[in-house]
Amino acid sequence: MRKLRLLIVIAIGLIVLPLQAQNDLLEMLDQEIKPVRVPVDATFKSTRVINCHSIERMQAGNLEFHVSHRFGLINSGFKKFYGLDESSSYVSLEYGVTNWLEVGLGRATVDESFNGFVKLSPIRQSKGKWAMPVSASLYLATMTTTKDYPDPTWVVDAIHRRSFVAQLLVARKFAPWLSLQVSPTFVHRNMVATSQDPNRIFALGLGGRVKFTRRTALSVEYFWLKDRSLLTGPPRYNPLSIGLDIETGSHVFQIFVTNSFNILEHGFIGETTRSWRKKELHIGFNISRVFTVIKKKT
Amino acid sequence: MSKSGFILLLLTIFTAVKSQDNLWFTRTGHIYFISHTDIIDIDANHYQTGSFLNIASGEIALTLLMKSFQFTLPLAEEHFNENYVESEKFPKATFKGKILDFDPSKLLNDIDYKVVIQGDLAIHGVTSSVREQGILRRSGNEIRAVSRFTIQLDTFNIKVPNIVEDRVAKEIPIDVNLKYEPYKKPAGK
Repeated sequence: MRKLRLLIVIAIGLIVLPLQAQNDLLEMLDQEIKPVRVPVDATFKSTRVINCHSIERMQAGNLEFHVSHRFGLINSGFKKFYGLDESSSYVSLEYGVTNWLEVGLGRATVDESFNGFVKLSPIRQSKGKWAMPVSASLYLATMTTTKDYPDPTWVVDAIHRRSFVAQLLVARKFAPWLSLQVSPTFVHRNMVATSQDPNRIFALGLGGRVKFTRRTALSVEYFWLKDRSLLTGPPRYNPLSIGLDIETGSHVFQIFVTNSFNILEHGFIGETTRSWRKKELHIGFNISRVFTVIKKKT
Repeated sequence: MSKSGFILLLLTIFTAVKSQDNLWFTRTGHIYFISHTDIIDIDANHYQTGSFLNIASGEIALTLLMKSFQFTLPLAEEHFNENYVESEKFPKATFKGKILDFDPSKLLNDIDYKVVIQGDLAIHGVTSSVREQGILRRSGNEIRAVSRFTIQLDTFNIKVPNIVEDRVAKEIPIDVNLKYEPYKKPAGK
């Protein structure tokens, strides 16, 4: 009985062991190759969803030249060429110091503002080993207006000309065609119109893109403002923008319709006085051109 | 356990282990490719290519993660994964083939053994039969395999849009450089 059992063991051994050795080499490779961390790239094509910054950043050594325009009101008719006669613009240079640190400097025509920002991107969505469900960036910016105030006798200290923005950007690429971003935002304005106006505005941004070909995507962005009614002056609206992203090699071109004439955060959050319901809309575009300043060593 | 039975068992295991001896392995294979045009050169390295070589049968298998290609231009890396090879849909490239008329006795120390490899190359979800030249060279406890060949993007259904047509080459030369070591089956498997 014992011998029989042994014989069976040997028989099985004889059949199984050589078979194992002849396993398909590709299958064996799959078992041998250890899982690695695979980052999820291109959650958004551009460093902007539309108005709002996206979780994307310039990687180390890359420089972005960014140009934005918002034209006048579309419903201003043919006389004003549907708003194209008028425009607000923003130009900036944005550089990736490391893969997690981007710095930028820019100038906007509205309020003659300069801005400077840092974007920290410590968390990147990834699969495989050490998988991470989302990408997150922290965007911190300061703006200074160089405009003259209505009364020339006013002396406005530099500190009062400043505004600050802090945004937490959290995004997930759910599928190659679908990415969504949540952007809780604080805007702090050192000087406001009246003493009733809050210095600090909280807003919650939602944005996303639906890619429908390899190089084009539909993008949408909305900001909900808390305490919008506390702002004095003309009624303020929540900015909503809908557009098309077109990627051509090292350019990303975004064209969209928005109710915000302002391009910077402290403008489109809290200073948007046009409304979709009243059909007060602007055509806008962003162009981003990326230059590789320092090549990566591989 | 009877003595004869025990010997038989040992023999069985020995033959199995013996056939493992024919297997050589690397997980740090190097692959380089370049897209050369007058306007721009786009190149990338891959240092984590896994491969088996069976020096009894001449069989070769190779696998790599597309996402692990490292480009000198970060933006090119994004476009490569996102637009050209669609790495999320087709994460791996594989090769499975055989060295034609393989003669293990020619695999001598420090002498180049010129071989012809034939097999199936799978990239971007398309499998294509290829036949390319290569060199094997054994140096002690190491076998080096090198090959240079060219692929056509068309073959693998990798489309280049008109707008960047003059920036991406249609033919891509590929350098493969593998350093095999004797395969040790991991314990507990």
